[in-house]
Amino acid sequence: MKRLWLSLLLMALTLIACKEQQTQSQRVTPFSQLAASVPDAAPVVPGNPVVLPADHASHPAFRLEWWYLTATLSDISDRPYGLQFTLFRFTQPDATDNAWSDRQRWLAHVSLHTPDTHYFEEKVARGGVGNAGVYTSPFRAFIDHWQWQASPGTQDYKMFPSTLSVSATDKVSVSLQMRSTGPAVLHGDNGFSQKSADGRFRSYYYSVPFIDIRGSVEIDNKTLTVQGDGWFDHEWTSQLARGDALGWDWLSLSLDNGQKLMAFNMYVEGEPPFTTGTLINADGSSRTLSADEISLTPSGYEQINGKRLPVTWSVSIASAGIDIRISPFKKKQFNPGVAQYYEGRVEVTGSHRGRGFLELTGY
Amino acid sequence: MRRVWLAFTTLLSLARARPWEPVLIVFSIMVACAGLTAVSLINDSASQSNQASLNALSSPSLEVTAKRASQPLTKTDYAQLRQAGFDKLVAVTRNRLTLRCANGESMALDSLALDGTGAFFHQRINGESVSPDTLPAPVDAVAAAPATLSALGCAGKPLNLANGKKLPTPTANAQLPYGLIMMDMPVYYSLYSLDESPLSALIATRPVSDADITTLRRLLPPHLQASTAPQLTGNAQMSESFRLNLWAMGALMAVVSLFIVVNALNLMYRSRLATLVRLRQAGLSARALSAALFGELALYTGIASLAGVAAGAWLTLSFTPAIASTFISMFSANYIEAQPAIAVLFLKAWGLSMLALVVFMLLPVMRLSRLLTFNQARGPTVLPRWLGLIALAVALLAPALAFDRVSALAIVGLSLLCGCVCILAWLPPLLACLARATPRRLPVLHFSAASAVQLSQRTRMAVCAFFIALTANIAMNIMTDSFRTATYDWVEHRLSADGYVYTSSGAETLAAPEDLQLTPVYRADVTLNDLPARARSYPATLRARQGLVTDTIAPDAWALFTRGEGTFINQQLAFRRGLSVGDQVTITASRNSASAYTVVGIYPDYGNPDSQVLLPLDALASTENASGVFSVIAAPGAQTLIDNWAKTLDEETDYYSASALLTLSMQAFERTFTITRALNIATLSVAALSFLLAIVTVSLDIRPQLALLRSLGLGALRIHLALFTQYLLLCVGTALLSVPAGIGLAWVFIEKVNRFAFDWVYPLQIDAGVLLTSVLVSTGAILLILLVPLSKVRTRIDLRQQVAL
Repeated sequence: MKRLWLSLLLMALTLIACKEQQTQSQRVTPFSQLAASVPDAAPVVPGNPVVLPADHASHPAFRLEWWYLTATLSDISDRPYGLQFTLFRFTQPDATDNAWSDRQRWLAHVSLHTPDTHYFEEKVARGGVGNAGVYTSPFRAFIDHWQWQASPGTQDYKMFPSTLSVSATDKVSVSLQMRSTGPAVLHGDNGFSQKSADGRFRSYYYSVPFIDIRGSVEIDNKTLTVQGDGWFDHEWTSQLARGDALGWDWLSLSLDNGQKLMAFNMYVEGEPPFTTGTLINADGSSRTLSADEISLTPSGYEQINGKRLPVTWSVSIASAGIDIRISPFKKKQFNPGVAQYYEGRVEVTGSHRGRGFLELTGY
Repeated sequence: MRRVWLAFTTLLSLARARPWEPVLIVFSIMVACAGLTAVSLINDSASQSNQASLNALSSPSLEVTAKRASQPLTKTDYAQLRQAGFDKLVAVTRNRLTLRCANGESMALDSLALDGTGAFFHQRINGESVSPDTLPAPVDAVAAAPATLSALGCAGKPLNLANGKKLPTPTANAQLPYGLIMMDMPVYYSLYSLDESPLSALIATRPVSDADITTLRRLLPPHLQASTAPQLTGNAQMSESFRLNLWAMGALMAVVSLFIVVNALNLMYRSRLATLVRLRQAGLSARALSAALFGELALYTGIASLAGVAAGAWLTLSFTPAIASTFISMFSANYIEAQPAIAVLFLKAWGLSMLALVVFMLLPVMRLSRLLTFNQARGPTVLPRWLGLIALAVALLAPALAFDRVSALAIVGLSLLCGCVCILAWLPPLLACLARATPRRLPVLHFSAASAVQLSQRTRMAVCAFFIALTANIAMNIMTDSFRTATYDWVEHRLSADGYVYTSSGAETLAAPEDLQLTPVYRADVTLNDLPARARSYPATLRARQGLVTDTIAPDAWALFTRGEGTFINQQLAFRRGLSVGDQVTITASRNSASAYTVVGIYPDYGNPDSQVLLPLDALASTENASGVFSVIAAPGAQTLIDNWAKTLDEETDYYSASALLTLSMQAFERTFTITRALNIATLSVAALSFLLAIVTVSLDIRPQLALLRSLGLGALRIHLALFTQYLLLCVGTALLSVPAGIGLAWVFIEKVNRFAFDWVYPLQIDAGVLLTSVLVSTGAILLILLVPLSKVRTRIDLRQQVAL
């Protein structure tokens, strides 16, 4: 009888392990189009701290970079909205440097979720033409008429205060005034963010999690006054743009006690998921969370485009007394771009309340 | 069922014994299917060429260009306009490249470099796309249509330019027009620098609202200009006319092919008569026999449809370069290579053929049925002459009912049908008169003339086919000749200056010696009564007045025009808006206020798809409207000054004498009628085939007569001559009736079909030489072809009166 139970247990464990392995092997790299290497791409190395505001600028020596703004907004009727503006930069391995190309390619996404509708637009531009890029004197991140521009009088390199003017389809235009109400946070070791246990995967990564946003959103010729919080991420790397990087589950949360949390599971080929995060206090101080300190467990799924995505999570950080559940404020917050991924506004319940964003890639 | 199968196999055995009859049926259906397939594919290509996204490359709705070559459009201009919100504008650089494979021949191609990433457009609402069709813009790549790559003979290999540089291996893209090589901008600018080859334009790849255009014009820097394509360009309209014309030609070919098939069926059934009689005597029911005949026809139709579709598809693809260049030169629009779906085309062709043949098979089957029931042989019924009069009245009155292109083309068909009725009603009496007039002392000739009367009744199908072919031939030749004469006359008058200068610098003035008078031409997009039109300046000098040919003109036209109160409009505008001399119109040029004008004259403007008005120089004179064209008039005795001055002009400026321009125009004119000439030959060939079949059918019945003539001592040669004379009289009689019909049809083509298709008409000119040539060449060709079967007619008959199997 004992042997029977042991055998059954072994079988169950094997099946679970196989399922996990099967699940991991079903992941895809979000960087399939960047699979070819760029031999002269700069490496991310420790001991090279992120320096602000200079590092708000572009880092063309690195293979991949993004300026990522998410905003949880509400109008005067308290209707919630989730806004995302992201500007990506890629170095093309086989591109030539000539009058019409500097080997860089710019990709931008604007996504606006209302409770009922999702407006999404994607733009592409070539570096070296002049209609896309990031300038620092003053700060401007732009692609065509999507502009994130530092306000007049702002010092060079500084991102805030600034204005964001974007549109999504011909039905939506957004104009927001943003100001930073707290310091930037360098993740990992002064911005050196490790993404895998062996350190092969890494990036330079910082956030500006304290952003106050006010402005207007026009939808179908109807103008809404909105306000809310924003979270800005800037990350650049050459060590993440690889075919064996299989995506991540990432979240950024603003809790009602003023704390902020950034955490992610990173998936790489041949290794178990790597979990880490940064817990940010209301005064801007922060500490890196190891895998032992933070638990990210999916607790609910949504079927989107034939994929089973974990959109509800349980997050616990025992040392901080945090035991929360995050769930999307609406279904199907999926960006159907050239790169497809889940990016949605989430609500926080449990030991703390709040709101934030969840991003899922590699599914 | 077994009986039907037995009858079917018997028919197939009979077919094997006399194979050329079913082969002729199969060939005729194959020709009709090939023609319809080709027309269908070409028309599909023409339809696809109207896609807005692709036409944006050749005929963009909005284009921003530099006013002068000295201050070109730059990358910075592009970036700034896109940042200002005009992300519908995409930078393009146009060039003409000479390319070749390693050891291959050079080929000159139009090249279009496009900012591929700038053309990218991706919008979603709730996951559903709200983007219009995206351009087939190759990113980091080079692409061309499969036919272009095939012509280059460079499959899978890089291309070399004349300067020694290499282009990456192009990929095939069926959406691209023939003769164009498209590439991403960085690829192009790895071959040239921006100084060597500046940007050509920023084109709108998606529709732009009028409000956006107004905003754009306000924001444009001074060295750039925005031009909108004519809203009423009728590129879509013209290619629709092209398609309609093709369908009409295809239908004509199909109708004539049908004539041949029916004739061939008559012949086949007539030659099988003895065997079919035996089958009926053996107890085979009429129904079973009909089913077997139908099955045999279905088999031939299936084989012929498949072969015809394949042949039509192959011919279309083979002739894509020629068709594309004709289309492009006619409409300045893309021509997309056809993508034949053989299975679908086959099913369509087979279905249509079966449908048509089942209907038209009734005639030979009914005839066969009469023969099988041994009814007293009756001669064919002669159509009463009053029926011919009614048909003539219908043919004369029907054109008045035309109100659009489709009705005009339908009236063409109706006219031809009425013509056939007239022929069938009047040809026998005409030949009978001729027979009566032939002296009896020439018995063979008299016999020939009298026999021709009978022959005209027995070969109705062939006569109709010949009548249609000859009438269409005459009409097309008269139409072409009239158009040629009108075009020459019109161009010659309009080129009233000694020469013309074209400069791409866009200059409003040009330095020239004192004895040369240079007058700039201004052009602008305007609205006339709130509808778009093109305006062109026109001088009011005496020479210019004499150069403007008009259809109608007011007595005080030039006085009003000079005062800025009158305007000349082209025929197209007059027809489209129902305007006539004396009407009041309001014309608004961009940025100007509206002005009232009186229509003082209507002028012909052949080949122009746009509505156009002529205004005095003062009304349009501005740097913005400068077209870079100047008329040049030399003072008396200073003609050689022009040649000397022309040699001093820079690379951006070209001088053309009026005579050189006239020559170029007429060369372009001749190129556009290539397809028409080919079609004339095709329809005449089909008519000849129809006559050929008729001869063989008839010869089976007249052999006893011929044998009698032989027994009376007439030699075989004289008998053949008599036979030939019969057909000669038949053809001459048909030709005589075809001449007025052809002239009438030419009038319908000009005044109705052309009027509704293109909104312009030209005078009908009847040249006796053209008429005579058409008749003689067509009739001569037919008669030459008929010599072959006529010479083979056997004049002896087996005494046992058995028909040889």
